[in-house]
Parts: sequence; C-alpha cells; structure tokens
Amino acid sequence: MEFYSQNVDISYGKNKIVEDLNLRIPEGRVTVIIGANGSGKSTILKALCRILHPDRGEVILDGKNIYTQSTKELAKRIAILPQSPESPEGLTVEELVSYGRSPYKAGYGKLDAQDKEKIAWALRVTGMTEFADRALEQLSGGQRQRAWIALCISQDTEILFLDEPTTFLDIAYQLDILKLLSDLNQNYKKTIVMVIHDLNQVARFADHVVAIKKGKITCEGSAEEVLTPENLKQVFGVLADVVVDQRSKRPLCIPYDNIPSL
Amino acid sequence: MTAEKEDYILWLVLANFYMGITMNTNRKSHLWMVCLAVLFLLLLLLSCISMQVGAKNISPDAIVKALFFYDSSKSSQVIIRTSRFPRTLAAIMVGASFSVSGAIMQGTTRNPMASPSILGINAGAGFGLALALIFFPAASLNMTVLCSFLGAALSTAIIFLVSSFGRSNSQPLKLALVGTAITAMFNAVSQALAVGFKLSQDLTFWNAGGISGIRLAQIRLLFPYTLSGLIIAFFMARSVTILSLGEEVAVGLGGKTRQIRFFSSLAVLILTGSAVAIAGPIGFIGLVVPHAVRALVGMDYRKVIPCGMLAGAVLLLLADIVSRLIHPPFETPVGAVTALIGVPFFIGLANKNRKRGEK
Repeated sequence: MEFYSQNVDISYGKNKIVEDLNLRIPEGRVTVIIGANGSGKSTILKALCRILHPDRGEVILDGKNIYTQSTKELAKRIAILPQSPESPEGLTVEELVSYGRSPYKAGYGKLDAQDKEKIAWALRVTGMTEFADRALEQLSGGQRQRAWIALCISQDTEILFLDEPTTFLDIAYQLDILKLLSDLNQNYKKTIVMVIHDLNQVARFADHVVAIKKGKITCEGSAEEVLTPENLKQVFGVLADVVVDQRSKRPLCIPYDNIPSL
Repeated sequence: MTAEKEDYILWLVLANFYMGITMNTNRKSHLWMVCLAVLFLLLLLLSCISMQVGAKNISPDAIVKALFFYDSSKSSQVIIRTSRFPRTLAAIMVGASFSVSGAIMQGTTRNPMASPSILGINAGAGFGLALALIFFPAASLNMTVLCSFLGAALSTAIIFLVSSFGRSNSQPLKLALVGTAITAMFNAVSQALAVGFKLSQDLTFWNAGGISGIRLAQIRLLFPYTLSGLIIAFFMARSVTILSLGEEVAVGLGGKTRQIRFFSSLAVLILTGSAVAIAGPIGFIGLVVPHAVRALVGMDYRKVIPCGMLAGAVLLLLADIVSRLIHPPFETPVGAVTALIGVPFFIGLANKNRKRGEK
C-alpha cells in the first residue's frame, strides 16, 4: 500500500489552513499527527480521509487520487472515526456495528453470513460482545468509544483514521483505547493514522510522529526524533525537559513553562 | 357470515401463522415484522370502520356491493363510492406521506423535532396553493399540485440554506426556529393574499386540514406522486440511517452524502407537496409517528420507514373517524384531531430533550 498527499492546500474562507502538504503515511504503522490547537492537524486528517476536499493537490492511495474515486470503494479500504461522534438515540451496539458492512452492500443491504462473521469478530476484538444488545447511550464513555471502533473495524479496511479518539475519556479509558488500537495495528496489520494530544501517549504508541505548525509539517520521524526540547519549543511554544521513561525506554516529556512572550 | 368477516379471520390466521414463524427464529430482530403485520391488520380494520361510520352508518354488505357491484340508485352505495371510499384512501395516502416525510427529515437532519409542519414545508406548500388559487383560479388539480410542490420546494431550499451556514451538525433549536419563522412568513403572506383576493373562506377551510370533500378523481391524480415518493423513500432507507450517524461517519461508511440529501429531500417534497395539496397542512403526524415507531422498532430506517408508512395511515384513518364521530352530523376538521393528539406528545418530547441536555 502506498498512501501520500501531494501539494495539498486547504482554506476555510480566506484563511489558508494548510499549505503545500506533502505527507507520506507508512504502511502497517501507527502514525500520530501532533500540533497545537488550531495548527491544522485535524484538518489534515480530514483531508487525508476525504471528509474535506482540498483547494489544490491530491491524496494518492496506490496510484489513484482519492478525491476522484468512488467513496464507497474507498470505504472498503479506509475507515474513519470522527471526533466525538454522536449516535442517534436508541441504536444498539450491534446495530451500529452492522453498519460497518454498508460499503459492501447495495439496495436494502441484507447481511449475509460473511457480514455477520465480521460483525461478531469486530465485537469480540473490541470486547463488546456482551454489550451487543445495549443501546449506546446506556454505555460508559469508554465502552461507547469501543463500540465506534468496532464499527470501523467491521468495515474490514486496511487503514483506520481516528480524530482524537481519547478526548473526553479518563486516563484508564484512554490507555484502554490506545492499547486496543495498538493491538489492532500489531495483530491485524491495520495502518493507523490519528490525532492525539498527550505527548507521552504519543511517545508510547506512535511509530511515526508528524508535528504540524500553522498547517505545515515542522518535523516528522520516530518519537525519539520528534519529541525533543527544541521541537516542542517550536511546535507548541513550551519549554520542556525530555527524559527517557525507564519502563518503556521511550521519551517522556515534562513541560515546565511557556516561552515568555516577547 | 359475510365475506368481509371471512376476510378478517383469514388475515388473523395469516398474521398468527406469520408471527409463529418469526417468534421461532430471532424474536428481537423480527419484532419489526410483527409490528408491520399488526399495523397492516389495524389498517384493514380501520379502513372498514371508516367506510361504515359517519352521519349515516352503512352496512358491510352495502360497502362490498358499492365497491364491486355498484348500483347508483342506492343512496348508501353512492355515499360509499363518492365520499367514504375516496376519503378512506386519502387518509391512508396522506397519513403515510406525512409520516414517511417526517421520518426521513428526522433521520437526515438528526433533529428529533424535524417534520413537514415544524420545518415550514407545510406552510410553503400552502403558500404555493394560495398563489395557485389567485393566479389560476380555473386551474386543474395537476396545476394546483405543482404549485404546492413549488411552495414546498421553496421552504425546503430556505431551510437547507439557512441550516448549512455555521456548524451544521444537528442543531435542533436552530432548525425549529427557522422553520417557525418560515411558517409565520408564508402564513402571513398567504393570509394577506387571501384577504386581498377574497379567498379567505377557501383558504381557511383548506388550512384546517381535511379530507372530507375528496373525490376519487383527485385520488387517482395524486396516487402516482404518493407512490413514487414512497418508492424513493424505500430506496433511501438504508442511506438515511447512515446519514443519521452523522455526516463524517456517513462519508467514512461510503455514503454519498450529497446524493442522499438530494434524493431524500426529493421524496419529502413529493410526499409533502402532494399530501398538502389534497388535505391541507395536517400537522403532527410527521412529528409524532416516526418517534412512536422508532420507540417500537429501533433506529434502523429500513424498519422505520415501512412501519411509519402504515402507522401514519392508521393514525390519520383513526383521526378521520374520530372527527366524524365527535359531533355528528357535523365534522370536526381532522387537523384539529391530530393536533389534539400531537400537542401533548410534542411538549413531552421537548421536555425529554431538555432533561437530556441538562444531564
């Protein structure tokens, strides 16, 4: 699989949010996009998965521009979990997850044996089997997020996009969700692209980190390469110590001050 | 035993047989088919009652004769043929149209308060109709329906334009406010026109919402519209559910959101436009029925739309029967009866949403 963006420009009205973005997503890895609020990282994520169409440029998946392809065909290759999705009242977990099969369905969309198998698998992997008949609003935040992830993986795609999948969750659930994603990446070979805020979680779970400032890539590479005091200063405007976490041997960022404004 | 009673028994047996099959397999996921079967039975039952009762009660025997062996010299058969039968059909078509429109609107806008009356589509259709009465007083029914469509299209366009400004994801209040404003505007203009062109009486009667004066010719003319609207709605059902999960999720699942919006708006226009043209702006069916149906069969619009279609027909049939029985031989406008059912429901719904918001 080859997946990259080429000269992508995106603007909202007159404001240019993203300029000349050339970003390559490595296959089978966990890529995390980081950046300050308003840096354009969410916009970039949306453009990469065709929720937003850029003003200029292309996003190429295996030699073909995704903006000119059938969105239904792409849904067999790319799954998207938007930031804090809201479910309609009364929808059960299993009903939600069954909609992951819709890219493979036409017309009325009756589920066949293979669909049912995929749905059961998605529920099992996410640990949601016992909650299958519960309505989403009856679940805790973390369980609900698992249900949405189950929807994405029942889609059976090679690429999974997630926009801040841990926002609004407490730390236990944050870890729980990130471990689940890591498991999907390692055991089911899913390429994952996501935005998360907590730099120490980035350090632990990302294979590839892309730092964004004002719609441009400031630096990218492994967590060790990107999470350095100089880069944090440049990208977030914070002064931080970066030490090595004794447990994971990954970088640990300890911000201690903002850059004094001039 | 009359032929009609035999029919009842036959249907009951069939329904029981069907329920027996479904109960043995997967009870939960087939619950909606039971709903469908029960609603269908209710529809048949109410249709028969609707033909029987009124200022003059008519025997089942005469009804069957009127439908199949028509003898125009018998007054009771004439009543069936020219009044009761058309109005029964009209109640079914109009009830189904409003209810399915409401279901589609609530699904695609993710707004529990969306319905043809709340979002101002009824008022738009009414405005179109007022214009038709003024400028083409001798117009054919076809022309009138067309004007009603255009009016409905106009208010839909306004709703979509206004609601697409700013962050569009589900703003129940904003849509409801815009709808109310549109309704007020169109109603004001329609009334001004009515006074100016001395059409008050026609419009008032039509605005009260009624299916009592309907003739078979009108039904024949509108049937293709209702049918095509319903067919589009059935084809869109799966897509409506996908869109009801939110715009971004819908894209991720391969939904063509623009296309879905276009075709579902088209279905709403055809159904609402034609229903308003024959029956006037009968409120609350489009709001109430989809909620009740979702409470029974869940969120999946492949189930909600068929069940909603039957349930809307059942509700309007019932309301129409009640409207005849409240104060015979005079008829209470059917719109008043549906409002009587709908208003408490709407207040309850608003309260429920408020509690949810506080949480």
